[in-house]
Amino acid sequence: MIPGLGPIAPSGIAFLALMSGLVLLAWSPRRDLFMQALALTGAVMAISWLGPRDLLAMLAFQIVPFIVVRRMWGNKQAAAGQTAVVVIALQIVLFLIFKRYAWFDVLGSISLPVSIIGISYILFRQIHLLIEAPYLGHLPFSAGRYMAFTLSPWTLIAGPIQRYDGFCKGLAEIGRPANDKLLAALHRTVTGLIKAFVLAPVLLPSADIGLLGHPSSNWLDFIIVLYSYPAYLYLNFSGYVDVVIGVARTCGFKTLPENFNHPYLARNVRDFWTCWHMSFGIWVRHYVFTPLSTALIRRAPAQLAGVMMAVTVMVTFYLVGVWHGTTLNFVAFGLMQGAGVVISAFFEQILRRFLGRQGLQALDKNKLFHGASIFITLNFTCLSFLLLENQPADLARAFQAFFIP
Amino acid sequence: MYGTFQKPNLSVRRFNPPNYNVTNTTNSKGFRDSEQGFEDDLAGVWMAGASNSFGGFLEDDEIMSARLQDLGYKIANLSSEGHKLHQQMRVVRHLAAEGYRPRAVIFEMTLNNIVGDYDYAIKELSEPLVINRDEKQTDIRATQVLEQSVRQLGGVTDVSLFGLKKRLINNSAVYTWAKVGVNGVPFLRDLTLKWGMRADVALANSLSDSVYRKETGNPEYVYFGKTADYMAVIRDWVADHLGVPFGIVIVPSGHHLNSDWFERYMTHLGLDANEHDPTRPYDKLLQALLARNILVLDTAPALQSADVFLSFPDDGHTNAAGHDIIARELAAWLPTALGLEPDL
Repeated sequence: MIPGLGPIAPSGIAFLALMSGLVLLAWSPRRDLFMQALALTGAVMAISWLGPRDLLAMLAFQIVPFIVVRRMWGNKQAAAGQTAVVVIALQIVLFLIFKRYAWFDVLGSISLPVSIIGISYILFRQIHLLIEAPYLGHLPFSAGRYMAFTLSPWTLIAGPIQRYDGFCKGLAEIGRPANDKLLAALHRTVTGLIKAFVLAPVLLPSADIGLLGHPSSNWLDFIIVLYSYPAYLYLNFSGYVDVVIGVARTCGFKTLPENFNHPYLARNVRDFWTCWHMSFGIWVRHYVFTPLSTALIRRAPAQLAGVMMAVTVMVTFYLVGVWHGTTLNFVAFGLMQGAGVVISAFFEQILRRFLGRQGLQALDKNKLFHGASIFITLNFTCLSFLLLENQPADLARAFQAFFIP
Repeated sequence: MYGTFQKPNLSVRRFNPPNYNVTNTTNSKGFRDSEQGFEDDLAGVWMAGASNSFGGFLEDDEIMSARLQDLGYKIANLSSEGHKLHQQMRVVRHLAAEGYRPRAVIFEMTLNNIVGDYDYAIKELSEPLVINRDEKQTDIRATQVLEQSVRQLGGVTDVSLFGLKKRLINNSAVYTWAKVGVNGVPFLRDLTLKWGMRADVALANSLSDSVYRKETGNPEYVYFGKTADYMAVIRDWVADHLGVPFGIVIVPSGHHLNSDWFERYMTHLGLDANEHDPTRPYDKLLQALLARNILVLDTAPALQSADVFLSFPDDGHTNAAGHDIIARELAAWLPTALGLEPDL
């Protein structure tokens, strides 16, 4: 905590001041100090959220991976070594403790809101570095760069998750953008602010499933409740990403990855996860899904490859759900999404068997089928998103009140 | 939940110098209690109450329940701002229906507007508890909520010069300071009171002036008996359904504790302070409760003997020093009156 200054978030004037400072520095002749300024700004933002205990916890969370990554940097013989595995396991345990997951809630009454300041995003970057360090020797690495990468102020709170090579490339290009690029970056920032802080809040109050308990509720009310939260979530999250990408681009930092690509127009659940929170999806695919599926399929008989793939999907989405939150509703969300992916893959396989590859391609081009696919995926997504805000029992109670008055 | 509803996971700053500048938080169940360990606390003492025990103008760790926890008792604060007794009881019934079992149930009663006719509430206790998680929300449909939100957005998007100016002024730190923060400057604070721009707390009293009359046979006194009747019914309900002790901690109002407030209040109404007694409502309720063999912690002696100001300058709620005294009194009273030893 910084006396007299609350937690710094993108909606506040303190964030605007910090970002303005970064922009001025990026445009000035002393832009060589930008990396240090980025690290310092990230640290100020983190400190504005954290108390003394949280800072100690954050320090403990940061130091060990840095030392290990430093030792492994460019050393290909250290690839996939035991040290990295042990440190990753240690970081995950610390993460579970800080986030107070049920079996790891050993802190008792000690308050550690460190969990809210994007600690999962820091963990993603640390795991990325611990795995990739042996292959990144051609890139510079220092304590300052590590700080700037893990605590980068524009991705500290909610991503997007960036790779280290992209981060270094972005840093190398810092400077004043051309006028058209600058206008585009500012436009993106303002659009993001409007999406996240003007439009999104309009939809939050009507996303409450408790509203379905009104005796006069009809289908229009149901549709409003069903669609309000997904619309809010998209506007809020993608608006935030627009702001941070816009600010980064104003500094000439062009490599911050995109996080959304019309996700609600996805044609199936697999498609959805390539368009929604994309940097997270890529990270999960790279560091969880691919290694796990490779390991399982390699060990299982060939005829069980499909089953192993389904198991991998369910395990991966279970982890996705658990990452979103520590309570049962998030597990249910993950499993529902996993089931959606498995079912859509199974359905596609059946179609391919009956229609053949060309028949399936023709069907995909059919506008009616296309529209129906989007409609079904959208509504499945909206239903599953209700689990992000509500416990399954509360949902069941609200639906019961609405459908069986 | 049941009546005035504290939003879950709330974190709200309350700024009103020189009275308070605090942050109120609620846990994911909407209670003014910690998130971690709340389930454990529900196996300890339950404290029901309204705004005073909710501690709206205090930091989380200054509330009497938090202070009592520091003194060794697991305690779940079930209080909610604006809750009447019957709404507090609904929360107790709801938690009991959910399967939670406390070591004891305590109702905190501050002498403001809690005294009344509770016949309807006694009747309600004999009826099944209707699960209605949020009375406020179900009063309105989703379409209406969305419509309201869009209308508010209309305010934001008002691009007229006047609309923009109004919004900028209303959302500016300068305006907020001018409106509220000005009272933090003693000279300006006196001036706003003198000019009638700020209410004098001494003149605002939620109790009717007639309950202070010293005369016997005051018709208002019947409501003290009715309130005590309801509390006796609650005590019996707790014994029957939860099988644990029940007690009341009774807290005097600001006008009781601050004699100058009471004198100014009387003067303002044109009444003779000698014919009225600021302790009368408190004493009457205390007597009525004791007459029904209800275990009561009388906090007035401890609070009155404290050599510090126990309210807020502009608000009659008990301040942090008062909550601390009440918590210490409770810690001494629980073992002797209810047989509860510290469990932490």
